Parts: sequence; structure tokens; C-alpha cells
Amino acid sequence: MQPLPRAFQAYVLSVVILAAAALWLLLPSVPTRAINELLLFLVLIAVASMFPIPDPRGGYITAAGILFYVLIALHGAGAGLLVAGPGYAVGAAVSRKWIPWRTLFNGAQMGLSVAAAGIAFRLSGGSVSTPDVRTLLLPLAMSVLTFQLVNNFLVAFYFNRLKQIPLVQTWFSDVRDLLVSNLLSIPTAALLAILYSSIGPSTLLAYLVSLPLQRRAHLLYQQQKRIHEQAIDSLVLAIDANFPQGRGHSRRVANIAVAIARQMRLPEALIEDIELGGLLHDVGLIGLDLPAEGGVDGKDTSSRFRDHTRIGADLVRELRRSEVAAIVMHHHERYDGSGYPSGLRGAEIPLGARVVAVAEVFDSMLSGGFPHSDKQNLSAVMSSILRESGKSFDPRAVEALAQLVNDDLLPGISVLDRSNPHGLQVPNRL
Amino acid sequence: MKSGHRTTLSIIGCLALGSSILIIAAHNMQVTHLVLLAVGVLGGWLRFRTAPVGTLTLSPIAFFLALLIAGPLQAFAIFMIAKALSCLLFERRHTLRALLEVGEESIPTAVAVLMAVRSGLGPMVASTAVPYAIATAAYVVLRLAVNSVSAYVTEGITFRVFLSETIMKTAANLILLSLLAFGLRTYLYDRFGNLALVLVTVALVEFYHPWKLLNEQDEILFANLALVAQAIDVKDPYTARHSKNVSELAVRIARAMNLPEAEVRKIRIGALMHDIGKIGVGTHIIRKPSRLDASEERTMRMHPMLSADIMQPIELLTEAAEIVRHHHEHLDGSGYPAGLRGDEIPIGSRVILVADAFDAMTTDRPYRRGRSKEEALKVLKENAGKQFDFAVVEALESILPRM
Repeated sequence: MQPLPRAFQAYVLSVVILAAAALWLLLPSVPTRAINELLLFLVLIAVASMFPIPDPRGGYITAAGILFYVLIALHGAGAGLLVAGPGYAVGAAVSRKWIPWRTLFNGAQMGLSVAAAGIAFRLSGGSVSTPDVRTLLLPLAMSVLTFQLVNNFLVAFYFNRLKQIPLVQTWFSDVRDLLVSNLLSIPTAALLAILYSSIGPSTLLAYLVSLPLQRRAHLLYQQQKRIHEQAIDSLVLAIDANFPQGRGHSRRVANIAVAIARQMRLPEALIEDIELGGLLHDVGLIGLDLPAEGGVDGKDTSSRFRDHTRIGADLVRELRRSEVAAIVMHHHERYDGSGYPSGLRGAEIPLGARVVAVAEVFDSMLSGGFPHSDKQNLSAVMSSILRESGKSFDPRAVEALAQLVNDDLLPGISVLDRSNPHGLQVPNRL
Repeated sequence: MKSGHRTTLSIIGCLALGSSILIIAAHNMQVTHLVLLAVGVLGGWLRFRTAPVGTLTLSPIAFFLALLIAGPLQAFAIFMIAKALSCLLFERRHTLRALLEVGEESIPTAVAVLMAVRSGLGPMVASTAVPYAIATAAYVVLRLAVNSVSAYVTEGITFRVFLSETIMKTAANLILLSLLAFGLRTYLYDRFGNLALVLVTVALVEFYHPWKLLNEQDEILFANLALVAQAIDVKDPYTARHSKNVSELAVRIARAMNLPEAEVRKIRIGALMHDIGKIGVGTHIIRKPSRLDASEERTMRMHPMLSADIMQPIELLTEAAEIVRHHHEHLDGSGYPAGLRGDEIPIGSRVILVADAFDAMTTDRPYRRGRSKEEALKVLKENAGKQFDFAVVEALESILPRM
């Protein structure tokens, strides 16, 4: 393993020092009387962090997030820093691999994020003693927002230093992708805080007992989802063999389109639609039997060939995901309006369809599928695609593809790699 | 029978909604009532189907809470309106369908309300436990009874299947919700008011949500498989919905035969995928109106094996591959590809053969009109014992009046 970059080491150290300084400042505010309760939180957070569940949208889901909010609502920012940081670091180190740099950084950044959330809670007038919307729910919303901003910034900076991943873009797209699900955890956190203060700490344990059940559901869901995706994948692969483009084209287009979409930092929900759209973009061709009917050049076949977008979209509409149907329908539109079936131009073409269009042509040219009868090498393919940027293709999508090709990021994209592109765990709701 | 059942329920639903609006008009609406209504609507969002029939939903917690907080009559009104709203909002149902569901729900609810009034459950009575228990027990029992009748009438699911597959989950969910409502009323509502109602409901939604996702995953799978199947069916425009039709029919036949739910699932997948092997058969053969010549016939006869070969390596479809492989075997051994006879043919294959034949016979073709259902059934009966399994044809005959 190559030595870690200097800038990275300096960053991790400064976060740790920052956390230590914050602890020094906040230490007097830690309620030392409640030491037993703090210990309980420490153990619970460590345990909850030990069982992360990969979130299909990227990142991980753990129950620790909810515990953070309960902790700061009850005991304030200082306690949050003192307990959440170490608890999270230990839990993450046990469940994943013991990497000193990462563990140290995880503890420090999580402590800082939780402390910031605690300060936001206090500043917006939060209190558990007389809970209502203004004294509990709104302050919790503020602290969730603060937590998300600080946490994702620290993490984005970490990867910026480690792997030169763009900072601001990563930060914003992470906040965007994770904020809603984190906001959704507010009611549960509020309820737990109320129960805790009115009945006692034992209610937290009751909540934790329910976690294995939830975890089971999540894991089952993920497992099923994977099996189902594999099934559809294999079916499409089997059917692909009869397409003019040949075996594996649909899967490759889906992979390339997803990579482009990730590079463009599109929302995860759209990326999922793009993957399905890429996989199914030629589904309307299945029933057409083009090669068996005398080649693809004949006039009649050509109009029949054009029909495949409409037939495909009709079929895909069954899935009740309108965006996917739109991708299938419009993946042969051109940016300048000269495409089919509707002759849409520019931003009128659904964004997903613009991404899939580039991916499809890229793969067809590279693997020599229909209508590009002979294989071309990568640089020839890229130069003809770049030439068509703004004419056939959306310049943003082309730019993203060029970036991917430049960084040699395309071949490594595996079929079911839906993990966070940065691979770090961002605590989230359960 | 089926349409009569529907009409009756819709009329009951109309009445229930009408009286709910009267109740609301006659009593003063309070903020709490609106909160309970919101709880009911939100609870209705969390709703998923359980195989073979029935749904699990959170919405009854609004009824239970309203019984304890707002009083029996108001509880009825709030629950009915919440039910209607969540049907229209989240299930994208037609108004009629929503009325039907309200009607179905109104029967157990009304009985529970009557029991509550009779046993003296009022909003302010200190000892609510016994009347509440009686009312909720009445609700649970009647809810299950109504479910079971609907399952029989609309899907042909016998009480035995219902008892073994559905009743436990539904009952457990309802009992859990009634206990939760009681605990919430006793420990949290007095101290924290409406906030506690909302927080608990949202927390419950969060808790149930993964299960909803898990359940939807299954629906997505079948939608995906149907998509692939229909893409093949496009080869012959006259059979555009063939695979889906065969699948639906085969499932009904299998249920009528009381086959275990695991077998039904295999049949559902198998019937959807049975023609997938036709991907390799040219459209000129598939669409040919006249008799196929020997080589075309050979190609056509390959398709069960091709279908099975495509399915075999796919984990999820492996089980169903076997019944697809043999879906053109005849009872007397004259079928293909293996020439199996009688009980050697998997039961799923025998079901699909009948469903496939029935759908093919009743579909219009460019060169001939489809037969009527009665004629098609007659042909099946004439060939039962030779080509088709008696039991399967009988099961089809038993469900035909309900189709």
C-alpha cells in the first residue's frame, strides 16, 4: 500500500485536534451526575454502529443516528461529543476493519458533527421538558440539518484529500441524497427523547430490542432486491443474444449510463431509473426479429426498427415508473432535435434519455454492434462522440463520459456495484 | 356472484361514508379529531399485500385510538373517512373501488362500534379496558371473516387456504395495533396530547416501512417478469397479453385446487415465462396462419426446452424451470419434449397446459374468431384424461362462473 498523502494526514490530524479543542471547551457543560446514563448511551451507540446495513441509495444505515439526536436533546452538545465520537469509532472499527487513520478520523468527525448538532439544538431553543412542535421538533430539525452539513463536509473533505474527489460537489450531492431520510428520523428521535425523560432510560432498551427485527427486514429487502435484479439481468442477457447488438449490450449500456450519471452527480433515484432504462432500452426490439427479416437496411425494416422505442416504452409502462418509460421512449432523440420518435431537442429530452443515448452509442461503436458494424478503438470512438457533443448528445453527458474515460474509471464498474462511490459510511437513519 | 358482491359492498360503503359525514356534521369537530384522521390516512399509506390475499395496514390504529379518545360514533366516522381518503390518495383507486373498500371495512367497524356502545365504552369512562377489549375483539374477528368471504368470492380462495396462509399475520397485526393504541392512550396521550399521537404514528410507519419495501419488491419482480414475457409476446400481436393471461388463469386454477402457496408461486412464475424460449423462434413461424411443416414444427417444439434452459441458471426461476420444461406434456404420454405421462408430469405443468390451451382457444385470430368460454371448456373436457388432467379441468370449470 502506498503511503498516505501528506495533505490527508494533516487533515485528519487537524480534525482530531479540533475535536479535542471542542471537547476542552464543552467539557464543563457535560452533566457528570448522569455518568451512568452517558455510559449507557456509549454502549448503545457502539452496538448500533456495529451493525450497519448497506443502503441501496449509497452509504450505510445505522440506528446510531437516532441515538445521537436523543443524546443531544437530553444531555447537550458536550455529552454528544464525549460519548458519540468514541462510541461510533469503536462500533465502526469492530464491525469493519481496524484501520487506525480511519478509526481516529471517524471518532473525531462524528464527535464534532454531533456536538454541532447539539449546539444547533440549544441555539434554536430545544428542550424536552415541555415538548411540542416549537420546543422539540423544530430544534431537532435544525440539529439534523446541522449534523448533515458538518458530517458530510468533513467526510467529503477526507476523500478530497485522500482521492482528490471534488469537494463541494460531493458535499452537496451527499447532503441532498441523505437529508430526507435523516429528517424522517426526527419523529422517532423525539418520541424516544420524550419516553426517556418521562418514563426512564429503560425505554431506549425497548427500542433497541426492536432493532434486530428492522435489521432483518432491511437485509431481506436488500437480498431479495439483489436476487430480483440478477434474475432480470440474466433474462435480459439471454434475450440480448438475439439482438442485433449482440450479447451483453444492454447490461453494458446500463453500467456506462450509471457511471456517467454518477459522474454528473445526478440524484440517486434518477440513477436507479437510468440503470433500468439502460437495461431495458431495447426491449421493444425483442419481438421484431430484425436480422431474420432480411437485414436492417431495408426501408420497411428501418421504420419497424424505429418503432422499437415506442413498443419498448409501452412495455416498460407496466413497471409504473414513468421516468424509465420516458428513457426507453426517447433514447434515440438527438440533442439538436433531429432524432426520433418525437424530435425533441435539448432540455425537452428527459435527462435520463440523454445519458442513455450517449452510453448506447459509446457501447455500440466500441463493441461493433448494430448499426456500427465494425469495432473501433477507444480514442476513435471518443473523438467521434466529442464531435457530436451538442449536436447528437448533451454536452454535459459527453463531458462526464470523457472524464470517466480519461480517469480510466469505466472498466471497473461491476454489475451490482451500488455502493457509495466513496465507500465511507455516512451514518443515517434506520 | 362476484359483481353482486361488489355492488353490495359499494352500496354499504356509500351508506357508511354518508353516515360518517352526518356524524361529523352533528358533532363538534376538534383538533384531536383531525389529528386522528391524519393518523388514519398516514396509516393507510403503510399498507401492503400479503400472499395470497389480504392486506396489512396501520390504519386500524386510528380507529382504536379514536374509540378511546373521541368516542365510538366519532371513531366510526373518522375511520371511514380516513379509509376513503387513503384509498383515493395512495392506491390511486377509482372512486368505486374506494367505496368498495370502505364498505368492506365498515362492516367490522360498525359491529365494533355497536359492541363498544353496548358495553359502555365512552370517552370519559375510567375503566375502559373491558369494553375496549370486547369492541376490538369484535373488530378483529369480523374483519377476518369479511376478508375470508371476499377472498373466496373474488379469487376463489377457500377458507382452508385462507386459514393457513393469511389469518395469522392479519390477526397478529390487528391485535398488536390495538394493544399499542391502548398503551398510547394510557401512558402518553394525557401527558403529551396530540403530539404523542403523531410521533407514535410516524415512528410506527418508520418501523413497518422496510416490510412494505420488502413486499413491494415482490410486485416489482412480477412486473419485471411480465415485462420480459410481454416483450416476447409482441412477436405475435394477437397474443400480446398471452403470458399474463395464462399466468393469471393458472394461478386461479391452482388456488381452486388448494395447492400450497409455494407451488402457486412456482406456477405463477412458470406460466409467465412459459413462452420465453420463443425468443429463438422466428416470427414467420409464430405468426404463420397455416399448418407448420415438419421443420417448423420441430423448431416450435423446442420452445419449452429453450424456455427452461434460459430459466435454469437464474436462482429465482430455477424451481419453475422444471414445470416450464414439461408444459406441453400430455397425460397419455403423447406430448413433448420427454413424453412423460400421468403423475410423472409435474402438477404445475399440467395446470399451465390447461390455462395455455384455454387462453389460446378463446383468443381471436386473424383467420378465426376465438371460441366462447363454454366451447373451450367443452373441448378441454373432451380431451381430459388424454391430453389434460381431469382435476385441473374440473378446477377451471369451478372458477369459470366467477370470471
